[in-house]
Amino acid sequence: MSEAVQYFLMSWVDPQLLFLVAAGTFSGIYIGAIPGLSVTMAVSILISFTFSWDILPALSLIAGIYMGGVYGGSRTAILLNIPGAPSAIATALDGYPLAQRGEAGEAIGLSTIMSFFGGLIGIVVLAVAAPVVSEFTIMFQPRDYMLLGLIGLLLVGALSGDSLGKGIFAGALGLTIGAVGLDPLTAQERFTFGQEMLWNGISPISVMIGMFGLAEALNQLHHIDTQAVKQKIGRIIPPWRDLRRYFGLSAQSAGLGVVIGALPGTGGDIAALMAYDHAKRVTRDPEVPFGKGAKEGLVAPEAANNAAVGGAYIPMLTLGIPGDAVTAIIIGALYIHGLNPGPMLLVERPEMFWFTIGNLILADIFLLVFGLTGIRLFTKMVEMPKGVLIPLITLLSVVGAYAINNSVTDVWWMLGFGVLGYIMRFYGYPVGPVILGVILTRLIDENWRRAIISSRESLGDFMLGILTSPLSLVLFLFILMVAIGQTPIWTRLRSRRRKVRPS
Amino acid sequence: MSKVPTRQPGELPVAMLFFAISLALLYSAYGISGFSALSGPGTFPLAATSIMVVSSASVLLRTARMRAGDDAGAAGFFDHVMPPLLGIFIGLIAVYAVLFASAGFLIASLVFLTAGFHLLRRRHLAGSILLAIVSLVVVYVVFRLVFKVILPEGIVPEGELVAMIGRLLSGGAAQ
Repeated sequence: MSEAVQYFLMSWVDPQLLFLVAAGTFSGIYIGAIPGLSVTMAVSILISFTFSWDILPALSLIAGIYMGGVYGGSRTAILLNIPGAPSAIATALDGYPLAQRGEAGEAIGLSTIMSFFGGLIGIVVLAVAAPVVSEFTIMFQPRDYMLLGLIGLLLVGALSGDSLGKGIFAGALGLTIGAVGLDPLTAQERFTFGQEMLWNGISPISVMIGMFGLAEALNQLHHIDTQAVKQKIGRIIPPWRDLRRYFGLSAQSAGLGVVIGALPGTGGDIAALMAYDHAKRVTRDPEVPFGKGAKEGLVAPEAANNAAVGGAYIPMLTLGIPGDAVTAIIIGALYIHGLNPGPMLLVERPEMFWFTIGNLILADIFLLVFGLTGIRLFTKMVEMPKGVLIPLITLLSVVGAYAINNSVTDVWWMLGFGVLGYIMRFYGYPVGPVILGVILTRLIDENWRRAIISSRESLGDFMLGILTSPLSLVLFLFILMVAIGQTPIWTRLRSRRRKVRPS
Repeated sequence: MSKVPTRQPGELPVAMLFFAISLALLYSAYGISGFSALSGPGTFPLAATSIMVVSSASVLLRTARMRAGDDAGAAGFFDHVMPPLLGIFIGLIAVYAVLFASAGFLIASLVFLTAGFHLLRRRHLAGSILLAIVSLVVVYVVFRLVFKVILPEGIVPEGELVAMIGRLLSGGAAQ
């Protein structure tokens, strides 16, 4: 117990770690806020710089970036009506009308405090729930791990956008990229085409930086002449009356956010949209209608998306499966740092868990501090011309890719995947599933083979194993439910039922 | 009558390309261990690439059924998807990657930033050079000195420079 407390407080008392959490949160807020720069991009580029570090400073920086980045997107959603991140889409609905009414400052203040509050609830739930979940997951068999990997893959549906076919293609492409190199069990070459340099596989981080960093920068070249709109910023600290009034709603939204964030396949963006919908249903008579600047429409998504951060850490740390694209990247980084996120993490390295909790709370506090100050500097940053921003992002992407292994090969991979990512995005192929596939290959491939070997290579025995183990059966049914829910058959059935009902 | 959606310029060739790549990868996956065993090293790649083939085929069919836009063809592709500015910028990054390894981080980045700023801002060259120098100093201090990221030295004796700054700082602290 004392060790847990010691690790929990470590980054609070160590000046270097304290600085890194602060720096991470600060850069997360600002990168997340600049339109076109997503939190996924921030995390993928900045994480690559931590590979040569010890694990503790790296974890501190990562926690800060994630927490700050999820919040940062709300700033531009309010000021420019451009959500800086998908999790801030719901924030723009009422945040921007508030800014147009001249209440931008107050809207930022309110969203900051609610993000802080939601984030805190998420972390508390993480601290309480993860050890319980972890104790349960120790019983998992390879078969269950494989099923978990498949559950992680279902996130493809949520990340797919308009075309499920394109999303599935992207996810399968990711799985294939993840399989490149020597097979970890038999050392047989897979997709190496006789090239020795492919034996170690393609670094997932170079794929991520390419697809999220460079591809986004290339995409921004289309909007090089877009000018930022300036907003007047007045009072920032919201009146006490507002805080008291929306406390209940923010607590409910945070609860919703943490659950949605913890479910594999749904992250902050869905949490925020659901919370917005929840706020609309429970608010009987808002002062201002929703969509025209209702503060309830700002409070709910902001509390929910930051609560989802703590939630997303639960499956990541206890099961090793990502809750969203950002946690997929963090899992990749943890592997590189020699940590294996999954059921054994809390058993073998409980101190890392408490260290992470400490970091997240600290990042949440920094979020409050940086969120309520430096708005002037912020508006300057947002107005930075694209002509300056794009070369700088490219430079960081190149340096980040190089820093993975100190090798220019990774820079070429990054460039290749950057161009591919740009083309994919242009034609509506989502790039999130690619990363998901790359990350989940190992989990699914290795555990599938272990499971099928223990079933003596018999698919019948394997299925029987699933049906006779309550745990596997639950996981299997969950996969079936979600998979059917995402297919067009289900949507068609539902729309037919809806059509029938009114008649 | 429902309206047939229009496809974007280049969308069909890209869908065809993805389908062809999927087929090639499926063939390569089959070559790993064929259908020898369910636990073989090739089973997972076979499954993944089969999904690629099926999904890319469905996307290809859907794209082929769309109506070609007015600006379909190579000209439309270069207008919308790969305008000259984008092509030049990608070329610039490739040059940067080559220089990065040979001439080192400092020289390569200075050249890249100056060219990049000049290309995208379309203002005076002197301003771009100055901006590149200032940005490079900031990036260098943050990533090389604070984050301690190892960068290719190339022709500038940058390691000695760092050591000298370190000596100066420690000397300053000792006084």
